[in-house]
Amino acid sequence: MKRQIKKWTALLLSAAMVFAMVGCGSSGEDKKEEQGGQKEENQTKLEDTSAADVDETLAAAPHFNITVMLGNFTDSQGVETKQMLEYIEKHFNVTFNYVETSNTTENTIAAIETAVASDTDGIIGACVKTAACVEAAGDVPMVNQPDIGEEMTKELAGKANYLGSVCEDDYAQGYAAGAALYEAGCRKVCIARMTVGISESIDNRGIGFLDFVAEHDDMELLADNQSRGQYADAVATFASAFPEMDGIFCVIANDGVSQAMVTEGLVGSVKLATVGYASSDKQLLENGTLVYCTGGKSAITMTCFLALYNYLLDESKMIDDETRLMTRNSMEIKSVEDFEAMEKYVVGDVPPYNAEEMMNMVHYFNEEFTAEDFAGICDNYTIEDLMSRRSN
Amino acid sequence: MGGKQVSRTSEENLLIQQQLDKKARQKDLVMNLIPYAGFVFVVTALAIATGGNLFSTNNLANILNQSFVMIIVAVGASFVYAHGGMDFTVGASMGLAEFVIVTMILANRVPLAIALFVGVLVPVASSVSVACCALYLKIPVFVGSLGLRMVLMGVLNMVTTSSESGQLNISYNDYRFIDNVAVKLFVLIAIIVAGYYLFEYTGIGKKAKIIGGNRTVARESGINVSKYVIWGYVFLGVCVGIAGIFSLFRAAGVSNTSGSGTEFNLMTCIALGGFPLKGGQRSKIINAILGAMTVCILSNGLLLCNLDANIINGIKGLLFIVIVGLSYDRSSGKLVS
Repeated sequence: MKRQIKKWTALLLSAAMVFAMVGCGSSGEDKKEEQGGQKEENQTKLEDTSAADVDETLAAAPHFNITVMLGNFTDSQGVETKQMLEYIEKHFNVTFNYVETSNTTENTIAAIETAVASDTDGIIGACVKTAACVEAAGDVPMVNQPDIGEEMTKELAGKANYLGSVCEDDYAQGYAAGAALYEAGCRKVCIARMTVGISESIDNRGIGFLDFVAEHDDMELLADNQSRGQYADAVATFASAFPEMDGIFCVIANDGVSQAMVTEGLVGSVKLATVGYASSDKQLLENGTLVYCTGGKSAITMTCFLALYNYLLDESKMIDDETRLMTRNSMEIKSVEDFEAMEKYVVGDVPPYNAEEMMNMVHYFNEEFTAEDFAGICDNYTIEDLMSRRSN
Repeated sequence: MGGKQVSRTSEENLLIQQQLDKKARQKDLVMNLIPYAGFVFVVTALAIATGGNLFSTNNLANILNQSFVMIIVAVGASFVYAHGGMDFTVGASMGLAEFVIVTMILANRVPLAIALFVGVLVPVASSVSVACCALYLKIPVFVGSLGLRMVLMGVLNMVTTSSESGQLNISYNDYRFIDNVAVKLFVLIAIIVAGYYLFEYTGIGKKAKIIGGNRTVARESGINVSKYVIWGYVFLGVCVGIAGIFSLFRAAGVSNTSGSGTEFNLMTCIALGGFPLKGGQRSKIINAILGAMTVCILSNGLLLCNLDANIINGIKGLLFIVIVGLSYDRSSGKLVS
C-alpha cells in the first residue's frame, strides 16, 4: 500500500514536471499568440486611433528575444521592473527571458552562457562585475544596469558587443538624502546599509550620505549598521541604543523600515530618508517623518531596453560614449503629491514612458532621434516631467 | 516429531531467507537505480523541452563550465560525507582562497604556481579546522562548520571590501589558458580518476566508509578514526582549492559573494545523487558526481527553457523531494546524522 502511494505520488509529481516542461517549450508561442490576440482586440477597439497605429507599426518590426538579468524579480524593484517589461512585451515585437542572478558573478556568467546557447538576440545584464561576463556573451549585444563601476566601464568599452551601461547617480541620491535630513534639522544620524561589496550602486548611496555628514561639522554619525537586508532590525537597534538620534538614512526603502519607525515610537522625533520607496511611505510623508525617498528606479531596465533595441533594429548606438556610465536622473519624492503621482504614473498600468513615447525613442521608427536626444531624455527623468507628459 | 519440525523449519527458513535476500537485492537495485533514473529523466525531459538545444556543441561546453566546480567539490566531499561528516565552510573558504590568489597575483611578486599552491592551502586549513572542532573539541560537526563558515564569511567580507569597489579583478585574457575547456576536461578527469582510486582502493576511502557505517565498531577494530577523518577533510580542502582556482579565472575577479552558496548546492548534489548523507558502505563517489551533474544540467536546461525564475526553483525543489524521497533508505535511520 505504502509503495503504491509512493509510486503514485512520484508519478503525479513527475507528470507535473513534464507538463511544466511542455508548457515552457510552448510558452513563447502561447505568449505571442496571446499578444497577437490582445493586439487584435486593441486594434478593433481603437480603430483609426493613434494607439492602434503605434501597435501596428511596432508589430511590423522584426522580432527579438531578449534576456533580462536582475538580482531577483521578487523584491519591489524586481516586481516593478517585470511589470514594465511585460508592458513592453505587449506592445513591442519582443520576448523577454527573465533570469535571477542573486548578484553573484558565477551565476551571472552561467546565465549569460546559457542565454547565448538559447539564441538570445540581446542581453540586459546585471551584476556585471568583471570583463569575463561580457566575454561570455560572445557576439551578443549587451547593455548593463547598475553594479558596475567607472573602472569596469572603461575596461568594457573596448568590447565589440558592449553597448554601454545605464545607472542612476546613487552617490548623489545618498548625498541628497543627507541634505534632506540636514534641512529637516537632523544632526545626530544613523545609517542602515547593505554589507559593502555586494552592489556598487547601493554602496555608492552610503558613500554619498557619509560624505555629506563628513562635510558638516555640526552633524554627527552615531552608527553605521551593515547587513544583508535586516534594515528594520537596524532601526530598532538604533532606537534603543541612541535615544538622542534624530535622523536615519536607509539605503533601501522597505515596508519593514517604515513599520519599525512606527512600532519603535520614532514618528515625531526621528526623520527618515531612503532610496526607493515602500508602499506604506505615504503615511510617513503625511506625518513628516519621511523627508526624502526616490521612485521609478525600475525604469533603468526600460532605458537599457531602448539602448539595446535601437542597436538590434538598425545598429544605432544610443550611448555614444561607452567609457562613461550613462547616468539617468532619479525621481526625488518629497511630498504626498509627488508620491501619489509616482504611484499613478510609474507603478500604474502604463510605465513612465508609454509605447508611443518609447517608439519615438527608437531610431528605426523615428529617424531624427539621436544619442543626444536619448541622453537628454535620461536627464529630464523627473516626477515633474512625468506629470507634465501625462497631463498632456 | 521435534526433529521433523526442525528439518521443515530449516527448509522453510531457508526459503524465507532466500526470499528476503531477493527482496533486499531488488530493493538495493531499485535504490541504486533511482538517482540514475532521475538523471536520465531530467536529461530526456530537458532535451525534449529545449528541442535538442541542450545537446548543442555550445551548450555542452556550457554544461562542462557550469558543472566543473561542483563536480570537483562533490568528489572531495564524498570522503567527508562517507564518514558521516559535513563541511559548511566550503563556499567561504573557496572565496578566501580566490582572494589570496588574486592578492598574490596583483602583488606581482610570486610565481603563479606558488600563488595557486598557497590558495589551495586556505580551504585545506579551513576543512581541517572543522575536523579538529569535531574530533578534539567534541563540537557537533554541523554546529562547528556553521560557526566557522560565519567566521570565514566575515573575514572574506572584510578583506574584499577593503578595496573601494569591493571587488578585486584580474585580467581575464591573461589567464584564458586556464579557463579553457580542454584544460578543464583534463583536470576533471584526473580528479575523478584520482578520487575514485583513493575512495575505492585505499584506506582513506575504505576506512571512511567503515567509520560512517559505525564509528564505534571502526574504533574497536583498531582504525585510527581521527586520522582518516582528517584525511577526508584534507582531500575535500584540496578539491575546494582547485575548484576555487578555476572559479577565479572564470570570473576573473573575486568579491564577497565569491563561492557563496556552494555548501548548500553541494548538499543538494550529494542528496540528489543518492549518496547517503550519513555515510557508510553504500557511499559511492559516482553518486556524488551524478548528483552534481543532475543539478547543473537541471539549472542549465530550465534556463534554456525560458522559464520564470520562480517556476525553476519550484521544479528543482519538487524533483529534489521526489528523488531523495524515493532513494533515501529509511531503515538506516536519520537522513543526516
